[in-house]
Parts: sequence; C-alpha cells; structure tokens
Amino acid sequence: MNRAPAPEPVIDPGLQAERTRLAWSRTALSLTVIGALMLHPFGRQLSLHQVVPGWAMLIFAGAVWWYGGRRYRLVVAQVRAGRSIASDRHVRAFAWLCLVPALIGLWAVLT
Amino acid sequence: MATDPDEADGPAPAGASDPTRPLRTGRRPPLEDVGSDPDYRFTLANERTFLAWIRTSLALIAGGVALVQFGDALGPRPIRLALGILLIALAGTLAALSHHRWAAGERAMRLGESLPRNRVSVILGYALAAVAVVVLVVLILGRG
Repeated sequence: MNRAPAPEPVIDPGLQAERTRLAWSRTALSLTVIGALMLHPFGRQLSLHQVVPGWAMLIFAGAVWWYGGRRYRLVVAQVRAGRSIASDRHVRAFAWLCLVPALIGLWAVLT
Repeated sequence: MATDPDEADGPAPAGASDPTRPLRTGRRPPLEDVGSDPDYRFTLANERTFLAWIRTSLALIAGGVALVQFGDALGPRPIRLALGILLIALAGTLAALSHHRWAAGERAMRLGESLPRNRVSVILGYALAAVAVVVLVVLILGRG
C-alpha cells in the first residue's frame, strides 16, 4: 500500500496574499474601465488629444496589474523566508497610484 | 528592518531616525525602520483597505469624466466641466487621504499603537452630499 506524500506546509493561511493580489487586479480593471470610457466615441469624432489620456489610463492599468502580480510573488517569497514585507518603495509606489489616475482624469476633461 | 532603541550605545548621531518619535513631527523615517514587523496578514489587510479607497476614488473620476464628456443633456458645458473637475479633485484628495491613512495605520501597527481614526469616510460623505445637491440644482434649473 502506497503511503500518501507528506503534506506541504501552509505558507499563507487564509490566502491573504492571493486576496490582496485580487484586490490589485480589481483596481487595474477599474482603471481599464475608465480608460475605455475615455476612448469610447459615443457617436463623436475623437481627436488625437482626446485619445491620448484614454491610452495613458489603459497603460497605467497594465502597470498596476503587473505591479500587483510582482507584489504577490514578492510577498509569498518574503513570507516563506520569514522576512518583512514592508518597504518604503511600496509607500512611493502606492503614492503614484493616488496621483496618476486623478491627473489623467483632469487631462481628459480639460482637453 | 526593525531596530531596538534600547540596544543603541551612546547618543544617536544627528539625523538618525528614532522609531519612538511621534508620527506627526518632522521627516518620517522609512517604514522598515519603524518599530517591528506586525503579522503580515494585518499589513495585507491594510493594503486591501487602501486599494478599496483607491477604487472608490476611481469611481469618482469615472463620474467626472462621464459628466463632462457624455452628459450633454445635464446642462451647459461650463457647469458640467466645473462639476467634473470638482469630482476629480475630490477623487485626488480622497486618494491622497487614503494613502496617508494607510501609511499611518502601517506605522501604528509597527509601533503597537491604536489605529488612527478614520476621517476619510466622513469627508467623502459630506463632499458627495454637496456634489449631489449641486447636480440636483443643475438638473432642476436645466429643465425649468
């Protein structure tokens, strides 16, 4: 009779890192919706200066999606190694997340 | 990483960060130099709350953009533009406040202190009520 393999130790009880990764994904999807809203013509003829903010928002959405995945991998690796997940680099990255969408939104309504 | 002020020998050099320093004075030390690491699950819960506030501010941005670009029936463009800019400025303020709250919460957890009070939702509630009243007035005047 074969013995069952030993269970792997649980690294992240409650899947906190995965839930946080999904929160980053939802944020990126929200940014994508705003970018699509800016790019949708709704019967209008969009000029170049009206299209650029929408594409900027979509590119930023992609960057947020990528950052969420990178942060997830980092958090799992740090937790597995028993190290801290805090870093001042994340404080600055989160600050960009506050500023950039509002600036692109202002750019979109003022052009 | 975390430092213990009791382990330091002699006076701290000028400009050195002091983890026991009050949170609201002068330049803050880097996050990783403050206190000690809390349970990582609390840090991630704080991060998810911050992201939820960011999504709330993104909804305000979407409302501002939609009002200006697609709300032709709501009223003249200057009024819609003013309301749109107001909504986006509110979104930026909300995002900045939520970032401040996230950082303050993170530092409080690292220092083993109580979490700061949440004033962001109060500000958001009153500001949105004011915007709703203005939109209502614009709608009523536009149909009058």
